[in-house]
Amino acid sequence: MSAVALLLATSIAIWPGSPPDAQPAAAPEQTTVVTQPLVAGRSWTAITSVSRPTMTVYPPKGKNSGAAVVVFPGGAYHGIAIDLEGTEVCEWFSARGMTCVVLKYRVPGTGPHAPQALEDAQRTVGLVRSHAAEWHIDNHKVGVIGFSAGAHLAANISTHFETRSYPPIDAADRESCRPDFAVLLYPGYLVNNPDIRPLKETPPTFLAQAEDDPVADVDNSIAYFAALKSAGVAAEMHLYAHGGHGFGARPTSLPITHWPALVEAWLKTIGISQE
Amino acid sequence: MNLVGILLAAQIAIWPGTPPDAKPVGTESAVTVKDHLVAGRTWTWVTNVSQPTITIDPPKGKNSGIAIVVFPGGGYEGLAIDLEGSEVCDWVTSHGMTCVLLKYRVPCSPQAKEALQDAQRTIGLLRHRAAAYRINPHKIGVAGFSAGGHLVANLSMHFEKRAYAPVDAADIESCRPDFGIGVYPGLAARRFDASFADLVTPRMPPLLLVQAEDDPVDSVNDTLIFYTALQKAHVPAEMHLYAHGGHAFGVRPTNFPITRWPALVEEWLRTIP
Repeated sequence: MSAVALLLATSIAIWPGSPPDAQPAAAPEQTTVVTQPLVAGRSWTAITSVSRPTMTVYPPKGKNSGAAVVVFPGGAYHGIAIDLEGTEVCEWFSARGMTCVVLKYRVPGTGPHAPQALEDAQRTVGLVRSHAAEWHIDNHKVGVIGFSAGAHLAANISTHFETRSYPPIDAADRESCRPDFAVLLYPGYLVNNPDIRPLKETPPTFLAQAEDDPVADVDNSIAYFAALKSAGVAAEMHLYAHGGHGFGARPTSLPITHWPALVEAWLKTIGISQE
Repeated sequence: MNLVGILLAAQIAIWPGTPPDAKPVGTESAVTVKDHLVAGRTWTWVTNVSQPTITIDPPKGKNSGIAIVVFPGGGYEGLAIDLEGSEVCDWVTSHGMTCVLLKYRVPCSPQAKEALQDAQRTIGLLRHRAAAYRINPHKIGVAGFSAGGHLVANLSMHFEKRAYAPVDAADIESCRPDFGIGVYPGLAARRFDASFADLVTPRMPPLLLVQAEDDPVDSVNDTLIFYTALQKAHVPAEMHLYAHGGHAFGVRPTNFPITRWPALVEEWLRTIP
């Protein structure tokens, strides 16, 4: 079974019934293998028309660090790069003793200014905390990582966690949905965005982006970093001349693709993982 | 002989006679600083430098042909000659590169013109003597710390014209560095002679900048402003900003990830043309 097929087989609906602010599904959910462009020489998978958001849990391999991370793949709030920016990212985190959760949030038209993707993200972080005992997770070590539009979603939940964007449904919605850390890869929608205002409780944040990103300008990272700094939030930012967009966690000869090693060192300094 | 002793022994004067714009300073001195330990160790402060020199360390192992000129920091008042000089050269030479430690003139005038002259002269000299020093004249970069980072930026913006009257054939060579590295650069250490908008051009070399948000000496804000100007001018630049790390850590590794910056430079050097 392929990684994507496995994901779809083991996914859990995040809402018990119909999601809040549900839109009529324009089309059935569709999975497409994309070969134009290839990323690091390989194809990737896009899912579109998601009306039933789900999460898939990858338990830690080896020693459990107690930390967990929810992954928000990108796709311009139109689709979800489910393997490139989802399952492959979880393979990396779970190999480092972390519980990893891929969120297949609703698309299209569910962000950056619509509420649905944020609702799905808030719900999922609360759900992960409500399963902490069962999944052997430390409730104070639940972070998020996002790519492109998913990185915007990570910034959105990092600045909108004090109240839920939807009426609470069950006990999971009484858990905090504040991420304990946030990792943003090649974020978009953060320049001149009045909705994204860091608070002093916004979690420590890691940013990485390339100057030659043809989709989301590096100004997105710079603007968010400056706003985090003004709010007194600890932030780390790595900007590279070359790298483009949408490289996920697939290593190439470009140094930016080695960002996971920088994240690994960073997670130690913010106390999420141990030396 | 300790490291500093060896260093002082092998210095080459960069000017044949009196340097341009020379002014009298006190007697050159080197002091061991024991009250601000870095990674638990002392470091050496040199001041009153009126005769600028270079010290050339050949690469260990295979010679890549790359040379890095190191500008130590010290607020243009002195030079942290080991912490941000000879120890950096140990790293440079262990990676197959020639290291050139520049002991530039300090204390400097308000615009630090003497330091810029010394830096320009050094790059020209190295290109002129490239064959003798076994370096590739197209792979001569600079790395500077704190005020030395200011000097990296200043030289990267002022290479079209010498800031002094040419002395000899070395001053006919280009003094544009092929790449520049600014570690906790003190971009506000001295005022530049114009705004970044006027000084930053697409002809500038690729640059890499590293700094910590909690740097108590030089603000990361200046680095962000500089980077933004570079980006607007399409100068290929890489910037690594960390929450923690402070100032003046040199190449001494601690628990802070920022102190692993040499590994980022190593990768970066493979990607620039």
